[in-house]
Amino acid sequence: MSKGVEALVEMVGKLGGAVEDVRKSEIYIRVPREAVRAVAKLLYDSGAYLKTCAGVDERGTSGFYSIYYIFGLDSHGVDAVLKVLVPEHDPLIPSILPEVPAADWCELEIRDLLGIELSGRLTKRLVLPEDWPDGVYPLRKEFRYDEKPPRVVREELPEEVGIPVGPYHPALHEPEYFELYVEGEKVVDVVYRGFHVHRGIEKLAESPRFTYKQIPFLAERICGICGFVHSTCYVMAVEKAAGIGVPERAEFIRSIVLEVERLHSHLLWLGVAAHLLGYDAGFMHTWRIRERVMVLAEYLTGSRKTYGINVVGGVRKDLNVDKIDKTMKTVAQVREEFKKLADAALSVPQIKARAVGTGVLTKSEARALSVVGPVARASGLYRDIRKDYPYLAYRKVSFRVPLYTEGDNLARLLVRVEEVFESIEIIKQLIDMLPGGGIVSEEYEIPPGRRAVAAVEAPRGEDVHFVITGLGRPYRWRVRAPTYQNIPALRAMLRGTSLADAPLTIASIDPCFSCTDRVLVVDVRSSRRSFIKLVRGG
Amino acid sequence: MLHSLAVAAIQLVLAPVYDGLERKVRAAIHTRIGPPVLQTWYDIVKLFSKEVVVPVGGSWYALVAVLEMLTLVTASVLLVHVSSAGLNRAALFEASVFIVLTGIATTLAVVRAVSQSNVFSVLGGFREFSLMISAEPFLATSLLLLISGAEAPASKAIAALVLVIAAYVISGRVPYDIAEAEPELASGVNIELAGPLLGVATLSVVLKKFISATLTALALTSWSSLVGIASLAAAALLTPIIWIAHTVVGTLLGRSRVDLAVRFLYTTLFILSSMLLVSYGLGV
Repeated sequence: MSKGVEALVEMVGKLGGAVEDVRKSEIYIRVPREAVRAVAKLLYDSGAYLKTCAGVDERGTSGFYSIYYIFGLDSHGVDAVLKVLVPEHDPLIPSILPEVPAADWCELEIRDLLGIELSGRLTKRLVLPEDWPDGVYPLRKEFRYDEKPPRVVREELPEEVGIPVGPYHPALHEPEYFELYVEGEKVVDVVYRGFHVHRGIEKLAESPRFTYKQIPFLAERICGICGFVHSTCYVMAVEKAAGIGVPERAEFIRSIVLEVERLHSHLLWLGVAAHLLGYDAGFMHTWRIRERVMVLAEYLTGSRKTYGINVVGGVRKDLNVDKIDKTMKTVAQVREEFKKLADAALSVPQIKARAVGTGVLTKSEARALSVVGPVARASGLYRDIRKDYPYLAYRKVSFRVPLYTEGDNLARLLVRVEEVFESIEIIKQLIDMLPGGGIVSEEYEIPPGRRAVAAVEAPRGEDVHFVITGLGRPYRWRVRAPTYQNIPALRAMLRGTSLADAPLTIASIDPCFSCTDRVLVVDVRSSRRSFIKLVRGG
Repeated sequence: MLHSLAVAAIQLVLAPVYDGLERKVRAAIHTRIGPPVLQTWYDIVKLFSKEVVVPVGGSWYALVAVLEMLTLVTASVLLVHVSSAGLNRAALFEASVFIVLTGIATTLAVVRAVSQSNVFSVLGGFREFSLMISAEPFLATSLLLLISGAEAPASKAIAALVLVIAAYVISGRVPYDIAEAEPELASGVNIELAGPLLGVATLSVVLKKFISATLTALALTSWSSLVGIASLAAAALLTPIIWIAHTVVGTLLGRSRVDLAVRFLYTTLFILSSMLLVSYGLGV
């Protein structure tokens, strides 16, 4: 523990916090319920950012509900995990939202799924659907994973019902719902509603249908673009909790595949951005180049997507000479072709004209909302988990973290363009240094009651998985995808921007939604609210 | 009359074919195979085979869409007369009526769009209007000056340049496809149209492109002394070539934003038009 962290822990102690456990990159601190806001403020003011919070039903073991707040201390490479016990007879906790704006969604999620009420803030239903009955909390242990509570028909109509006037999809053909309040073509305010397809994956993983070994394949299905990030993050959390040693070669293979996934994801996004800017030649050529990466992924793992090679203890597929050769050739081709394309695309006058100064997120807003990934780096926050908390083989490679201070759509675009080149260099270094040996540890035990936080730098930012081990499967598995952290920043980014730039701005966080678009456009001059519902193929 | 009808028929047949050619060329630049050359015709035929869906608000929207298309057909036929006259004063009347008709067609499109209860249609309509007032006055001025005797080389060159730029804008291609802008407005001005009415609107779209290419051909042939059939043949040959050139330009650019587009057009065309008036006044 560094001196800075020691000093911080001492100050937390003065506020009533007690250190429970100190590990290499995590410190678990138990904090009294009444002191949580003060401790959160202390950590936040000292430069920490909130990674996420998670509610756990630990009544079966400790007799309490537990709330875990995971704060990242980037400069020290350590996570401070605050644990607050909440008694069953009084499920109430002071909200830390007034001190930590980034706590908004995870607090509401705890309220929805675990039934812990929050004091000191406005509350609303976030995750559960409108027809879910009150007083039924799916993350409580007595709630069976396959239980289907009766649907509730609510009397009052949602306030947004109005005249259906036609489809409008701001960016990506996935479920999301934005209310854009406009004056003419200028967006003056934004309201977001999401979680239309909450799949209950965390609950499913706790069910008897899944075991530690099966969950990587479930985790990979969290996202159709960066699924490998999730399976890697899950297995890292379990391995960390149980102290399982992973062969070095497996760590290299995971890192290589993670970078291959970043390449395809960034190229995918850059193509979409070009399409949104009406530059379809850029869209088509970016995806043509991306196709080489998809073929490479299939060659390395057996699948273009949803690779399925992660297991607890290592990986299932090794790299042979042919695969190494193919990887080197492919990344060299991709680099050459993408360099030409990026130069051409960035010289198109409309690209710069429309991306400069639009969708601006200032550094202070980015910090307040604890945004991650290219969104943070484009707003001047030096935040990259691969550097801050070196994991897998990243601790052995040298690479640059692209950083811009403008915080606009162009900055986010340029960060991703540069990251494509950095990923290629990382892959080359990893291939050069690939060690020999096995690729999986078969002998291990996972004792119950262990905890761990793992983070992986996904293409969209930091992915966080928190695991409490149980018997045969996790007792609790909390997943926080990067989009979860970045969407709240859209309000700040969209205010004052033109309606024409709203699709690009929404897309600029590279969000993960799914197959239905819903948007409400409100003209504040005429006060006309128009509800739009669009169903599109995914 | 019969002659004009024949010209209209030929243009109506050719415009979707040229559009199919545009799709093929665009696909080639994208490294795609692309649809068949007759795909635009296939689309139109299929749209006309579907049931008529009258947009919310009444059947007069349908009438406006048809009127818009007929106005463009008439304007396109008049442009052929202007072309056969070899861009001289003899075609001043036809050119004037052509300018009025293109203005009416755009106005009909704007009225049709802003009268809908669909907010995206309304936004598309206002965007169309913004482009109209940014380009069409300059198009009218340059065309009339070319016809009414801008003989001096500088005046002629500037008038031709203004006409080429304004003609490209009315083609509705990138970067000026702002009124439809699919990823932003999910087709904007045409969002409420379906079936045969969308077929009619599609014909209007390709006719605008035809007019745009023909105007550019006229600007280029204004340097020649060709008249009559020779002038007509030159314009007819140049039209598909210019259409392809427009395609290449549109494919290599991105979409502008309405405020940026209006500012750019006003600045550029205003400066050029001022130079044109000065050079015309000085007779150079």
